[in-house]
Amino acid sequence: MRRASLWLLILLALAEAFIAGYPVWVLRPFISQPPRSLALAMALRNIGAWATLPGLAVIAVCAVALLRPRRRDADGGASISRRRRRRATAIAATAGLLLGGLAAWIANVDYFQWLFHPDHDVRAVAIAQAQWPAGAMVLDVNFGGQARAYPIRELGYYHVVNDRLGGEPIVATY
Amino acid sequence: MAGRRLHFYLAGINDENFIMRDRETGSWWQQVSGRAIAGPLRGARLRLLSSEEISFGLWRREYPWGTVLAPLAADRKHYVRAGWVQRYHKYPVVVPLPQGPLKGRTLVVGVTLAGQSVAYPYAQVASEGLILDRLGGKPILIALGPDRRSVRVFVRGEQGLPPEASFFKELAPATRAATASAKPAAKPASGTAALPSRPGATPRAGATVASAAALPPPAKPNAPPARPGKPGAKTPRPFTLAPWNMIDAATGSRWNFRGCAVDGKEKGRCLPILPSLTEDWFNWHRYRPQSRIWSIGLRR
Repeated sequence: MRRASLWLLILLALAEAFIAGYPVWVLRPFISQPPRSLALAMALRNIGAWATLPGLAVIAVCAVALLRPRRRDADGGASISRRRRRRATAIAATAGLLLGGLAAWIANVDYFQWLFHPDHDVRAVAIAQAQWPAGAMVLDVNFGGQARAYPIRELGYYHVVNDRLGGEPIVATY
Repeated sequence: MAGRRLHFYLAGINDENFIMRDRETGSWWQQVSGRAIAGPLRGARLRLLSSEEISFGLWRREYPWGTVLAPLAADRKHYVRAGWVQRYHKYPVVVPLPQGPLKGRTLVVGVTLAGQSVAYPYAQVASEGLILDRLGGKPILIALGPDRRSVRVFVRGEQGLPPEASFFKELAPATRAATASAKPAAKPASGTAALPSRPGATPRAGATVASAAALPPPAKPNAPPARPGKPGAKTPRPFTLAPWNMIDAATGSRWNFRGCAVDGKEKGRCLPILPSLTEDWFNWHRYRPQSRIWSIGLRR
């Protein structure tokens, strides 16, 4: 039973690591994304947020069962080899629990936003208040009777700015 | 999108062009095409609004009533720094690209009309100043602006003009004088719409008109993509807005950079502006593989 729990924990931890890690590996910059890899990475991101949680729960149950001290160990009745095996099992259970937890966490966060914080407070100011030099490049949008400039140095960091212009929701991207 | 308001966020990279997701449906959208490539809205396409990359100095002259995205104090230290374009262009291109006259990171001005696309190397647009071409069965015109960094594309031959209306750049008065007397231009003409130079730039007497009007030496198609005065260029050109007009050969009317005739028979008429995208060649080619490349040898 303990052996089955250990193997289940290891397999689930590896599966969780794959679900969370493969999209991170594929959807990174400065590589070419083959269509199949891209499709699989997006599918794993789609399901990862909820699919990793039951797995993590099972891993946690297995880890608790494996880490709970047995009466024979507490009495000092176990042989040295058995104690060593128990220590290795405890290390594997802890590592699996940490790996599964890390994977479930990554699958549930938008990690790109650690590098490029989204603009949570999109506001526009009049030209007189804008401090940009005349030579700075901007992305200019003229829509619904309004004109708005998105400085490239800002947009080059945010990449995506959800805004409203001319009464319509728009998204400026760079 | 179909009566639904979507909120987007950065979610990954696909062949060096980012993909974003919307919080409402979780669909994945390719930035350069605005098309949903996966998820419940797969196949849908966002409506592309007309936009252009233009210098702030020129934009505020054209839209003095416009508004500007306010910077966030907390993120100010993260905003891309001067020279980021040059640093970015040192990275190798990883997307497959067929052999051709342009390197992957050559900056191009891309235009699409009636299903046809063409890429104009930015360096050639900068050296030519004004390019007449045909695209999708219509005569078009590509112009470098009075700031010598912004580019606009117009449909020529409409608004009552002949089908193949020919335009040429009006020389600035100082350049005409310099050409005639073979002496350097001394003083900007009165009424020069020059805006303050960028901080740190050293204004030179007479440079406002003379430097903007003088054509730079012809650039090679694969010349480094730094634009004149682009932030981060090693020797930034002081920002100026030189007098800028083009003249149509048919009526002699003068047209400004907004594409509107300011005098002559056509006064008050405006040429339609075509959307254009200033982009790395590899990215333009990736999503428009049939695009042709304009070069001086193929000029009409």
